[in-house]
Amino acid sequence: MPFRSSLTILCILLLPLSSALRGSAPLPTSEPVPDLSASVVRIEVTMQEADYHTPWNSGRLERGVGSGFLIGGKTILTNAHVVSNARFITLTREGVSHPFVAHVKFIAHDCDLALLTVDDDSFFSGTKILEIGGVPKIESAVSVYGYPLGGERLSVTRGVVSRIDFETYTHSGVDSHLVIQIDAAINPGNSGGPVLQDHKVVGVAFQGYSGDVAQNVGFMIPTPVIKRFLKDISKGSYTGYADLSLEYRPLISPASRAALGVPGQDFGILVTDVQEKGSSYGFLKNGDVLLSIDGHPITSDGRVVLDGSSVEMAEVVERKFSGEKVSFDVLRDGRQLKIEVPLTGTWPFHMQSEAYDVKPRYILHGGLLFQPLDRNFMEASGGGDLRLRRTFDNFVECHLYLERPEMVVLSRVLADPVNKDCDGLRPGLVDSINGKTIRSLTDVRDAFATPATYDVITLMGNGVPIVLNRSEVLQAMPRILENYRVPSAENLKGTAD
Amino acid sequence: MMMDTHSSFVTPLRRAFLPETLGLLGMLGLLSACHHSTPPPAPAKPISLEDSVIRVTATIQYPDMQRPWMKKLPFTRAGLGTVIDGGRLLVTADTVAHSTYIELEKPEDGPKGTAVVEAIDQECNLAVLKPVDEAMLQGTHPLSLDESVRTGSTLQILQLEQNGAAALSPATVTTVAVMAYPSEGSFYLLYRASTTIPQREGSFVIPALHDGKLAGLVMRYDPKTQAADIIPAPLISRFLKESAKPGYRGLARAGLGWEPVRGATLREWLGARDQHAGVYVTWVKPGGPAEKAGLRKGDLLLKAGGHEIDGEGNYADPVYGKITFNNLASLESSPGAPLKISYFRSSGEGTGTNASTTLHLDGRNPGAEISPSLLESESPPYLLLGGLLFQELSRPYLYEWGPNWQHEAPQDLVYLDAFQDELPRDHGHFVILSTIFPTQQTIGFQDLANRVVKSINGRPIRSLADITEAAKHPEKGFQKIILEGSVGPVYLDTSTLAAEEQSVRAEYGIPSLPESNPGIQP
Repeated sequence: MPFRSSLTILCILLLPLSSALRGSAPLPTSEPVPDLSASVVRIEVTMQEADYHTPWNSGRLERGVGSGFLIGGKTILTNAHVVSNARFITLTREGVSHPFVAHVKFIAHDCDLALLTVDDDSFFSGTKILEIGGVPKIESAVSVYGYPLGGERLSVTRGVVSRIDFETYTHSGVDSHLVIQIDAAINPGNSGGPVLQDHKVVGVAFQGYSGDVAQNVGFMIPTPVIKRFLKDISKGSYTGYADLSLEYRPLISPASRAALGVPGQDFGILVTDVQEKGSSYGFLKNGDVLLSIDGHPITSDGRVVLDGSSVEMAEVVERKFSGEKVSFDVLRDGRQLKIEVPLTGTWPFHMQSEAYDVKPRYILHGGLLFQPLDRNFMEASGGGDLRLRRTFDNFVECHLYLERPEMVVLSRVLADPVNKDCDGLRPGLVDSINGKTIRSLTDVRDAFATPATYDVITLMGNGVPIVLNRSEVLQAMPRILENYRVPSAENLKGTAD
Repeated sequence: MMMDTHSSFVTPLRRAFLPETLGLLGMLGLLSACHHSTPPPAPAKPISLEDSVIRVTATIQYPDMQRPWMKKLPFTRAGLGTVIDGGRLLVTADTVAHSTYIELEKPEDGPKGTAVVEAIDQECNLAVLKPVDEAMLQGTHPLSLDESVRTGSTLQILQLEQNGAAALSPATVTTVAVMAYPSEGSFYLLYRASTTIPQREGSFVIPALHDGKLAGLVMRYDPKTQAADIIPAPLISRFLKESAKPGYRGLARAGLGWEPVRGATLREWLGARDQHAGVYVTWVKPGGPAEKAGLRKGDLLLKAGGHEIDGEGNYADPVYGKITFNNLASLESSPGAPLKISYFRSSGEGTGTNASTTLHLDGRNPGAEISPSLLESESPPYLLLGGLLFQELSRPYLYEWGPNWQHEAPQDLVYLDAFQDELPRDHGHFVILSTIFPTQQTIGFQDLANRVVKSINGRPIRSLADITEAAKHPEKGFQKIILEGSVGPVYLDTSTLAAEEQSVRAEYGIPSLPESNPGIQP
């Protein structure tokens, strides 16, 4: 998907600490934007992004600027990517002389939204809450508010709604939800700012294309997604989206329709894969033709009409929560059935989401570094290795997760006498250690915790096993940790900090 | 490193010190990248060397692997053919591979003639040409081979000036070793020499002389590092000898892949405590010499042809010193010849046994390759079923995605090609749905190009011929095509298939070539 890589998220990163951020004197005040300076805040974040090359390190500091707005309950809505990996957050508002310390109350990486709060109540005096509205009409005018390009004064741009469609949310890299495309200028720093129509919020500005790909194209998170997020967290924590965990294809070809016995040309899609352990598994089957979802007929290109506009079928599921049900009219083996699918989480595909606010997991053994094959690792490594790339890309589609829920990479060797035989080793996927198949990083730890004379690591493919002498490894570990300044030989906790 | 042809992709090319540009230059024409003019070497014309070379200009036309009924734009490659015994000319295979026409011209504006390829081997990059008119070689002086070159020897690179006079440039041999050849996965003895070769016309292949005899053929030159790669006379001699035999299919190989064993810990674990040498066998070619002789993955190969193999895979050659042991097969032996080997096999309990066996070397066996590494035919086979074009996966097919094909080509196909050695031995070929011509029936399938075909009408597809057979058994009037990946079946209506194929042929200019297209009888 070419657009996926070219879409950029719109939090502005200043690397390293930019003097421009503080150095310039405030510009002379022009006419302030009425009302909205009391609602839209500038968010400054100090973040620390983990380095998956050296997963034991805490990562380098970066600073970012984004926007947010007050929505009541002493909370500020913004994008998840503005405050991801944050160590320190401050909010500033026009007309207030100093920043206020804020912290994240809820964060939803799958839909790129976050809710902040400020402990100092004085921050909220003089602020004005924005009301969340509906879905704007195509071609209707909207205004985008925020603090683009690091500026300290509230900026506004105007445009019209160009299109409403499903689009990848680049923050997680795997999620697609409803997105509204507008032609107003949206730039880095606009992230998290409100898009208004008739004084109501109709979206949160969040991603766009870089200028060399497309002009006058900006994207906002529409209110169905915002409302779903707010509903989800109303119970006190964020759960996230539910997913059918199935693949389907349009049923356009007349021959295919005839062969499958699907009448007419207009309705029905073909289920081509049902992911084991996902919601639909055990309910829907490969080869099922889905004719309607919750009573909405599914067109042969996989769309339904919701609120008067044609959207992807998945939008019906998007608005639901885990535990709710989706009902289908299904054509199976020539018979029409009604099937209800209870929604569970999004497993397995969320395993491939970008991870935030967690320390990288790893195990260092005799200088050999073991890491999970996840999105963060792939992005850090540049995806150069064919076997790693292909395995990651096919992890869900080829059901590799069933046998190995977590692929483990032997990613690098910290050179030491104990591993001198590993000269020239390239990154590889771990097949087994000491005869035990490796299905997760925990298996690696268990294998090395079991007494053994030798540690024999077999990588996938045709290659030489890597053999280390266990007692030499144990002797070498303190030396390796000391020499390479590695604070701990492992981190297996995926906890937020 | 592999002793076989198609597996280098999975193994680091440890011996390929060669900068990539060098390989590219070989592909683009030896001296096309040489911009700055260097002072011409002092003319040295002790003998009439120009009598031993003929200008060779080949018109090359590659098949278009994505539109296999077409050939691409022709281009020419020009080099110097060396006259050898038997009224023949020696050039590199790259000079004449996929040529449609070969023109010969004597150095001093002599008559022109044509030639045919008598023998060619793209792996060792050598070809023998035979002039159609024997008069072409009248007055020429065949060169004999000089195999006495060692590291430090000085060679004379022979080019022709505009007027046809010989021009020599000295070259010092800096390395004699088994190194990577342009054809992927090929490793043979090579001379690397330090020299300045001025840019001249017709330099795609240039002879290198020693004591007035042929010491080798320059096949690559990098003007930046001033390094020339020379196919050595001993390899030429072996090629001439072997290719003269009927049914020649490449120089000898053992059909195994191996990796070095660098430290003692692996050997200790295997139980080979007394051994001080050997390499780890990572792969034996199904049906190949090593497998037939009983060798298995995981064996430590200790000796070959009476020579001990060290942990890096070198043996002590009496002439060249330490070089990679596949030289014992490719240069020192012949396909079919026996090669005695000794190996250690671990019993898995920290012990094991030494054993010896004799394997019978083999040539190349393209039919056994799941995804062939070289183009076998000037008209690659294909099959049209309605608006769907099917082809078999090969490395040349992937080359169509350009120099960066490993990243640009469909990744599933690159993966299958690269790791084909890991597939079951009776796997057969991969048939791919290479093109979907838009027709009434193929609407809705446009995104399925370059997927592997799993089955048609319930029959597994391992070759184009399988499609022909499977298509004879439609299910309820439909051809049901299952592709790899979660994309569901593709159905084609049998009743309109023939008409659709006909209109696609007419519309897109695809000729009916029965020999390339097995065709479908509806």
